[in-house]
This record gives sequence, C-alpha cells and structure tokens, in this order.
Amino acid sequence: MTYLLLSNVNMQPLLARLKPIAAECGAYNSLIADLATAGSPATAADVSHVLCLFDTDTMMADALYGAGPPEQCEMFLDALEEFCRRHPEKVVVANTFCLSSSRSLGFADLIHRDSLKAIETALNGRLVALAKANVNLLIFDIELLFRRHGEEALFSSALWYAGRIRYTARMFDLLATTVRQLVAAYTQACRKVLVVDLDNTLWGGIVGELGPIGVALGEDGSGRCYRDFQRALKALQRTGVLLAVVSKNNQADVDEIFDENPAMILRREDFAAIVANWEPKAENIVKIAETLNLGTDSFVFIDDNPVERDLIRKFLPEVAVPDFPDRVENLQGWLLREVAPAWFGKYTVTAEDEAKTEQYRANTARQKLAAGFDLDSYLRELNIECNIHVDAAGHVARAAQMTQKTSQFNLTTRRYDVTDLVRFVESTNHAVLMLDYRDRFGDEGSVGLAIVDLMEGRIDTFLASCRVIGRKLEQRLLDKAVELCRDRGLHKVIGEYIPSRKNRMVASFYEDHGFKPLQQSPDGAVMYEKSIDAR
Amino acid sequence: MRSRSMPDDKLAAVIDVVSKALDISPDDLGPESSMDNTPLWDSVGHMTICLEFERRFGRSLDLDKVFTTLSVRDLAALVP
Repeated sequence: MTYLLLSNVNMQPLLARLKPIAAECGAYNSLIADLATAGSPATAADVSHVLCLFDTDTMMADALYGAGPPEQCEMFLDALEEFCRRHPEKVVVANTFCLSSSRSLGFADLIHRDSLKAIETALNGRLVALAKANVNLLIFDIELLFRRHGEEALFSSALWYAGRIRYTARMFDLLATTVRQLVAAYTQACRKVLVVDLDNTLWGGIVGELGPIGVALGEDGSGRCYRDFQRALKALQRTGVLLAVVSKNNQADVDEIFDENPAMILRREDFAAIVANWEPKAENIVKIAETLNLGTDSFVFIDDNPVERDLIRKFLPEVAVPDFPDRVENLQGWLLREVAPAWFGKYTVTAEDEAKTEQYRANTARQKLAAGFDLDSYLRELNIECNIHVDAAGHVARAAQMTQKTSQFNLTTRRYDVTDLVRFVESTNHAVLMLDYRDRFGDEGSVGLAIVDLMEGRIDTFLASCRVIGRKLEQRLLDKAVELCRDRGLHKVIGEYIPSRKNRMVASFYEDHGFKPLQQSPDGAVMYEKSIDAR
Repeated sequence: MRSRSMPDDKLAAVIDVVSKALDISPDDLGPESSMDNTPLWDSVGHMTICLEFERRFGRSLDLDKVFTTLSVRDLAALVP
C-alpha cells in the first residue's frame, strides 16, 4: 500500500504531511509521462493510490497567455483516462483544473474566443465525465480551497521561481487534509449519527423560558443564523446522516416548539430519535445507539455547552465531539466546511442514503408492531417482498458501502471499496448477490449482500443490515448463494466465520443453517462446509 | 556587530524551523549552520526551510532573499 504523488510542479513538501500514509513522489514533472507509459512507477503493483495533484497555470503553458490551445491539459486528460481504464485496481485522485486569477485578457476574458474561463470550464467538464465513467477516479474541487482561503495565502511566488514550489505551507496542509478526507469518504469510513442539542444550538435562547415563539429563530438577525444552521443539518440528513436530539428540557416544551414554531426547518420526522429529559446526555446517547442498533463510535455530538461536551468526551470517548463555534454567524459554515468533511464525508450518495431517516423511523414502527405478535404472524403482517440481484453493476456503490459499514451481522467483516466490487461483478468466478427489501412500512432498498467465490464454492462475504435482522431474510440470501454454487456443478459450499469485536451475533450462523464445522484457526476463525446435491 | 547581538530566542526559533524542515536534531545546528556546512541543507532542503520559515513567522520571503539567506544567522535576522 503506497501512494505515488505525481505532479507538474514540486510537491515534495506534501509527503511529510501525508504521514502515516506511505507516500512517494514521482520524478519532477513526470505526471503525464508516468500515466501514459506502460511500466512506469505508477503501474507498480505496490502502488495502491496515484495522486495527480497538478498546477493548472503551469499545465496551460503558453495557452495561459492566449497562444494556442491547452494541449498539455488535453494530453493529461487522455493519459488519465487511459490509466484509469488500464488500472481498475488502483485508486486515482486528481484535483480539478483551477487557474489563478491572472487574466491576460482582463475584462474581455469572459466573452473572448480564447477565454481562459471557458477553457477551464470545458476541461473540468471533461474531467467530471471521466470521473463519472471510472469509479476508481476520485476528483476534488481544489477551487473551494482558494475560495475559502484566497490565492494570496495559498500560492507561493518566490518559492515558485526559486524552486518550482507552487504552494505555501498552508496549502500543503490543506491538500494533505483534503486527500485524507477524500480517501476516507471513498472507503465510506464515515460516521452515521449526528446528535444535536436544542437550546442555543438549533435556536437562540432557552425554549423553557422564552416559549416556543420567543426563541431566536427566523429570517432576521441571529434567528437567521440558527435557521440556516437547521437548513444545513437538513441537507446533511438528505445525504444519509441520521439526526438525533439529546436535550436537557421538558418534553412538553420541546413538543410545543415542533408543533407551534413555523420557523422550524427541521420537523420531528427529520430525526431518528428525539430525547428531551434531565438524565445525563451520555446515557441518552447510549440508549439511542441501542434503539438504532448502531455503535456509539458512529456518533458525532454537537452542543453549545462546553461542560456537556466535556462530559461526553470523558464518558464516551469514542463519540466525536467538535468544539462549538464562538460566533453564531459561523454556525452554518462550520457545519458544512468543518464538521461534515471531517466525519460525514461521502464520495457518492446512494438512494438508500437519501431515504435513511425514513427507514430508521419505519423500523421503530415495525418494532412497535412486533410487540403485539408472535414472530411468524408478525412477519406475515409485514407483507415482505424480497428481490435478489446477481452481479448488478448499478449497485456496486451500495454494495461497497455495505461491506464498509456493516459490523454486526457480518460473517467475515471483509471491507471492500467500489473498485473491488466492480472486479467481483465483472469476474465470472465471483457472484455478487444483493437482496432488496420492502414491506408495508416502506422500501428499505438493498439490505443483504453475499459475495461468492464460484471457483472454490466459498462464501467470501455474507452480511445483512441491522435494520432487517430478525426477519428471516438471511435464509433467502443463503439459499440463493447455495443455488449458484449448485448451478456451477459444485458439490459443496464453504462458509467462514471470522470473529470480530462486534459480530458475535452470527457466531453460530452457519451451524444454524446446516453447515458442519471443518477447522478452526488459532485466531478463532472457523471454516464450515455443507454438501449440496445436484438437482 | 548587529548580527552578533542577535537575540537567542530568534536563533532558537530558526534552529527549530531548520531542524524540522531537514528532519535533523537541533543539537546538530547552531547560529553558524548554513547551506555550506550542513549536509542535508541542499537546494531542495533550502526550499523546505523557506516554506516552513514563512509559515512559522507569517512573513513571505522575496526571491532575492530566498537566494541569499543561506544560514541560520541570516534567517534569524529576517524574523520579525
């Protein structure tokens, strides 16, 4: 696992900042040549990630001064496309094209035939199309860094002419953070639940004192700050973040503001859980985690009160607790620029993400129904409909997400990224099975996954979302996996259980389904076997 | 004589910057350390030193200074 950093400028100072990631620099200005040449260092087997962090002004060469087309940029895109296709096993990271503010045409640039702005837009259009077509190409918008911090703080002038160093130390820091966050977002190592306080967090003031209409929340003054913060929270929720409330308040006061304040952007149904009481917040967070069937290590906690933040850090150190901004006018920007990329970064947003809160809320309704029935009649009441897809290319992002995020009902806990899944789907020696689920409460989307090695008759990965555990879906998925092995002419199927800190619940899964233990390795992993008869 | 009266704290701060930029021990550096007598202080190392100097002291170096400020003592003279 090595990262190779390619550029057209001197990017050496980035290496130390990427630690503990093991990264190396390609030769100076070798970006295009290394991508285009068979057998270049970029093609080496131990290179897992190729970082293409280039300077656009430099790549434009004379085109920056209106002399001819941006040939090097086009060559770079050609080489990048070819490399991504030829090396689906490597993750390739690239920044977008971003010119400095120097414009030889001045005001005329925008409408001139040689407009730099138009060239930049066209190049980025092609880059985005490449990223959409190649799941192993990850791009990020470097312009956002310049917009936020300004090019005077990020471009280095003297060091550029002295040693081809284009950026300042600040920019190298920002690029290192961005690369880390992007790779984490791609592997979907993000958190799931954002717990927020209410008073002086979702609105200004204390609802118990000011009443549901008296708090600061609206389109003017500080009320607008809180309203925009709520809008930003709602936007995060649409990307699959589950919102929850933990507040020291009377339930009745909280009910009143949700019912009566028309300025509330967030409604009750936007939250997976709302807890308003006078118990310690750490206890409430643990209870919410149990209800949602999620670990507290997937929680982030936002509270304006430093004492509450300290208590969570002390009693639940696995919960991420960011400092709260000093100024209310910075709330929205802080959430979207700092909290979200640090803990809720996503590279793709799936349909399941968009409907996540609804799914968890529906689950609570299902639990209530379950209280009144025995299991079989409960399952009949649910009107379950299942559908199993095999090797569906359109589902690889969701499949990778499931391998990354599922810890409890996961027999082997093998984490795969999108590039791995594409490989499995395309290989005739592997089958990727995904189980879609819906019932009378709603559509859960894909909730079960099996990856079967059809050469060995081995179930490499078998997992199900915690949301649907206890509904006997796993039997259907396992039957399908066995059926595929039988269709291949195999006479037995091998299952594995690799114990982890979280997957004890499936320790006897294979035995419960008629498999016989074959051998146990010293680390506790067990291999199972089941004979299958030809039809 | 002006450079002889360089405050120790500025020298110490520059030695810290140089030692981190070159990844060497501050014990191996002194006021007279320079590109001529410090093994890892080559042209590439010098760029890293200038980059870290700018960050630490919030002062950007002009091109001429990048080329001519080649010792700990000279760098310390540029500390604001």
